[in-house]
Amino acid sequence: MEGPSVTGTRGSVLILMPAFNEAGTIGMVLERVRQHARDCDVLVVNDGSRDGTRGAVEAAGVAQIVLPCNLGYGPALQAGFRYAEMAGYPTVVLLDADGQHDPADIPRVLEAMDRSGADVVIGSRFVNGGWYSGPLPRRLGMQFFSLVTGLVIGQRIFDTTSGFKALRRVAYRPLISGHFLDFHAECLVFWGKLGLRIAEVPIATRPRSDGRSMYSWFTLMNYPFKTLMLMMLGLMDARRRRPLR
Amino acid sequence: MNLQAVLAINAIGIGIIVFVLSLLRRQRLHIGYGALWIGASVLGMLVVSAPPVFRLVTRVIPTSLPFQAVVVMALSFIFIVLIYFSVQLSALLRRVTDIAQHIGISELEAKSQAPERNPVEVEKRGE
Repeated sequence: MEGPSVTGTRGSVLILMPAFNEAGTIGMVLERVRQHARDCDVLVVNDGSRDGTRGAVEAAGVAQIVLPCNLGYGPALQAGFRYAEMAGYPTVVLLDADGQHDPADIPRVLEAMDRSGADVVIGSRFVNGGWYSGPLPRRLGMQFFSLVTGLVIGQRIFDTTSGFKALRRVAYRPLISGHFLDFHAECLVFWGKLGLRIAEVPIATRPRSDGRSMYSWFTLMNYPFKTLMLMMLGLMDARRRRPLR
Repeated sequence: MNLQAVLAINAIGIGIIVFVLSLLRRQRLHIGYGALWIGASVLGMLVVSAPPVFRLVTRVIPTSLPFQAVVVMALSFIFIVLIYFSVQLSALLRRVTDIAQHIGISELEAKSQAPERNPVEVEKRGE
């Protein structure tokens, strides 16, 4: 495989967008990415979509990994990480394809990474006292995992469930294999214990305008249990590895 | 154990064997799993039908009633099989994930060696 296609001065950044049945929004999101992240390469991981997502991505002229069946958010991202590692991208930015994240924030997240020297920068909804208007159980869950993560790694992370992140290679490479659910709190604990530096920058989010959330009632009930279990596994795994920093 | 219980357990065992054989004949069950269920059914029938073997089992699994020893044995077997199948399913899931990721990445590689550059940037630079 050829090396990364470097198009800018920052170095090579790959914007990774997992997408499942996002035909209604992905075209608009890719257009916004073009406007605001000109120096970056873009890769969509089409997670076995059954709507017109594939055509929308092709129409936008963006590269995509088309998975032959729906694997879920985690394995779809892992496919992207695998590709990024093979192509040698030093930095990967994760962005949701549902239009909830504003691609205009990408430069700010990357600047924060350059400025702070952090290995992981989280686009955070709450770091500056932001407010999430979702259901109460979900808000309580977010608070709980923020608290637990803080206790375990000794750093308060305000938004543990953000899907908008910038990761250096040292952070995304260990995620290619292993147990991860949605790369939320379990990942933060893993990174923290590996000695990686984590920073948060405020971002704007908007409600999903089309498509369906990947969280059903069943997955939401399962989520805390699975995440706690994965946090423990992540801790054990990080202990086995040598600290990266 | 009384004769009716022995006959009932044997009838259930023969029923399981016939069902498993029909699944094997229609290629709905892998031969290894078929052998596992037929083996377990034959073993269960042997335990309840042969008094010396049954006495040995009740000594190894001490319960207040001999019949309970058979139940404990059957539940233990089902529990072990469930764990075994969970491990097998996890391995299959991991393989399917690897294969699907490999197919997706290979197709992308076949199409182009690297992700498309940002068309706006490419256009701007006159490439």
